[in-house]
Amino acid sequence: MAGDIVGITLLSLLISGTSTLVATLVAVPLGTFLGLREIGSARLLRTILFTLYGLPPVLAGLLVYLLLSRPGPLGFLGLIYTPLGMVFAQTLVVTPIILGITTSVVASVERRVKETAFVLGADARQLQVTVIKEAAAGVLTAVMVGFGRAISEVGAVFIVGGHIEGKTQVLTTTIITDIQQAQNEHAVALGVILLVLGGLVYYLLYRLQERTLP
Amino acid sequence: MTMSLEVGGLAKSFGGREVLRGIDARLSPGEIFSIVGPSGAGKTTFLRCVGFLTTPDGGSVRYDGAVAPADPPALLTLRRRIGMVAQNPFLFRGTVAFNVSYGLMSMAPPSTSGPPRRSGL
Repeated sequence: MAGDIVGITLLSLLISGTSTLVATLVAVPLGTFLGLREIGSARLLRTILFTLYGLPPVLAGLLVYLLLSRPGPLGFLGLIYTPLGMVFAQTLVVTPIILGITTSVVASVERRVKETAFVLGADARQLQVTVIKEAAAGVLTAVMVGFGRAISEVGAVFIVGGHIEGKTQVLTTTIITDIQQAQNEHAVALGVILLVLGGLVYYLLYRLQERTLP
Repeated sequence: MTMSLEVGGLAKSFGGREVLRGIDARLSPGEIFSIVGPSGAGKTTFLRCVGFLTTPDGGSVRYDGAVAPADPPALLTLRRRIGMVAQNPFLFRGTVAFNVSYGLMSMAPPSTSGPPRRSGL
């Protein structure tokens, strides 16, 4: 029992951590780009992305399931009911969140910083570097929120992962099946682990955020 | 002022509201010039137009007798000769030394950038 809990916990961390990392690598540069620009196309793109911000995880899971299932367009990759497929689904859920917050943070910082840096003689590149430095703490908050969404997410990973014992079981999906099987003590234990895990990661990111502040 | 400034027929509107209309001014190097007016009169808009923070709708601004160059490096050089203190100043994250030296660091060659080490700040 203890062995499976460790395995489930590690897989949860691996899937949520990887999807947050992939989402961060995509969303932070793109969000910075969008936040720094006030052109019409970027505004339209931002509106679309903010709509995706509220994408229900179950719907994301369904989309990824249709994509990755055997008859689907990406079925040949064989990713359905695998941890990699779960990463794909979670990345789809987390990316708009990190992207939306990063865009807002950079855009709001940009307005305040731009004029001060401008009148102090900063060129375009120096201005962008200054904005990114000022926005760093807010961007870390975006990553924290993204990880929180990933680790607590259940709908998408359930559909795409299938909750296969010893293969695609994660903390959230196991809690649900435990409750269905009246294994409430096991479910509570996993819930506590989930809570501690989330708190630990938040604490580490918070410390990192503090280091970016003066 | 370390340069002469000539403003002719400066105009600026925001959403149909005319803020500046036909503003003329001539400032000589070393001259102290005050712009006085009630709140909303357009004092800040005038300064922003002169300092490249706002693009005027009409009129001209000449710096040492010449209009601002279109070439970005030349414009940057001119821009760096103009200072402006905002009504509500913004402080960057970091030390007092970083904030005080930001302008100098912006203008310094890359090899000399970085906050002053012996500033005592």
